[in-house]
Amino acid sequence: MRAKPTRPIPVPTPLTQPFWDAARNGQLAIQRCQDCRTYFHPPTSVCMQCYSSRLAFEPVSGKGAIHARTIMHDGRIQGFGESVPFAVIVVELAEQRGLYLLSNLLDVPPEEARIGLPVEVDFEPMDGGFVLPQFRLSATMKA
Amino acid sequence: MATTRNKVAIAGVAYSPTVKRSDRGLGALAIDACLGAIRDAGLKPEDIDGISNYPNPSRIGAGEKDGVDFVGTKFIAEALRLKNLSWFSSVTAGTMCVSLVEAVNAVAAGTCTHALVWRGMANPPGQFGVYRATRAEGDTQFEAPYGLANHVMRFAFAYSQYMARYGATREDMATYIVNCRRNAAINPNAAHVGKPITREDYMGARMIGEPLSILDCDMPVDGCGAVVVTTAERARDLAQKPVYVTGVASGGFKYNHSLVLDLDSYEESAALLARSLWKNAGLGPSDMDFANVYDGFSLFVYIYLEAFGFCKKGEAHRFIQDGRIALEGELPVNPSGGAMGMGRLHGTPQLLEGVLQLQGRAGQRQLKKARTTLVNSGGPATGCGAAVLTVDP
Repeated sequence: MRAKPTRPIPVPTPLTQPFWDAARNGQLAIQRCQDCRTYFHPPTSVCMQCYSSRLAFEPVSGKGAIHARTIMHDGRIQGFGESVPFAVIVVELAEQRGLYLLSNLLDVPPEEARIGLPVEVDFEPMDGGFVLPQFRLSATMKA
Repeated sequence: MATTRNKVAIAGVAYSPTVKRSDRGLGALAIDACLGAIRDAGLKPEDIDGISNYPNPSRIGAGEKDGVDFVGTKFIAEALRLKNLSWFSSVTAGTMCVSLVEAVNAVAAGTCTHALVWRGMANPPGQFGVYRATRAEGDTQFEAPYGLANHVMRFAFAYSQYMARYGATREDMATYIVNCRRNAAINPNAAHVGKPITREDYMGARMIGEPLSILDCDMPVDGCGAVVVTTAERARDLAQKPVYVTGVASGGFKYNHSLVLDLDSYEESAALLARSLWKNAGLGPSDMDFANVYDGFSLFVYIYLEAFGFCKKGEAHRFIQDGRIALEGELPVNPSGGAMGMGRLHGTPQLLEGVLQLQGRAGQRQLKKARTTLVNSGGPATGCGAAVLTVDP
């Protein structure tokens, strides 16, 4: 990103609070069914696989790959107008097929966001005491 | 299987004037279209005993007043003084074609006899897709902090996958967009009438959420389209040549628990819609003389052409080349100009064009062979509907 954006502040709910608490502690944690072991993001009130109500947050590896991406060129998102062009990527976490997280791509020009490239999590402090999980290209991929 | 096959027909259609911004309110435009469709059928408002609609305001956050920001069943029932109503429906997803499916079922069941179906879209002052929130609530807490706060960006994800997976390029899509604008240029109801564009215009178009440029998104407009649905028997006594509804289906759910509209979800969901439709209609893609598939975002055309079986998965970007989808081609696609040529009208450029072509009322863009067609609208994984129309029941 050319300029640091002013990011909207997340408003956690009881269901999502553990995600943000973990990020503040430098950890990526994803909700997981304690019976069938399926991960869910965003968090859900019931397991969408086996319908168990025993759901809890567990740390994940923070590794994944770019599954899809867009590069925003238009300045109409408040707080991001000076930051265009910037990439928003869909990260598919290594833990489970179809387990997606959204992210920007840190440290590289947006056109470096290519589908299939491995990425890993980092943590970016933001206003309001929040810490935002963000992804960068995996070290092994950097020339 | 008991079906509604050819038991119901479309008896009248009308558009309001459709422009980027009208000096008349959406309510007035909707009355134009609804009264127009009723009169086109040779009916009067008091004959209408069913109404069906997809009412969602056309822009998030732009206001929610019936008759101003959107046009719902309450406004139309009051404005047209429909005092013989026995049935109404407001669907929560799927645009014009899902409202049509509801009306077809209601007429076939005998719940009503003359059902009015419409979709009105407003384009109030200001830019589409502007995001101003400083607090990210609900699911947006996982999106907006990254700057993902705009539908163009959300719909770009699957297109980025399509390009990577199947090798499609923007040059491929230029063919579709230029063809739509060519068709719209000779369509007096189109927002882009008289305004064809070149491949170079498309290739140079301003990017919004790459790979979607401004010309991969339908242009917001003020406008409305409407149709009247009745029994096949009744339609034969009315003013226009009946267009029979051979089959219908609705669907468009996403089966993975995620915020992301990904390519697999689109393909899976659109394929289910297509299977349901062909089974219900007892026909298949080779029976269609032309196709009216939804194109609110350009990628949808590839998804639907493949799902409905006009070509194989991953091949639509090649299928649309070489004049195949032009008015003179072997499978004309969106002869109206589609949403890309007519403007953001949520399926009326598909449904109404199917009817007009089958009735031989499509003016300069009239196809040589137009006996049976597919109409479809809505997002492949956010709510969609489809129908087969024919003049040969």
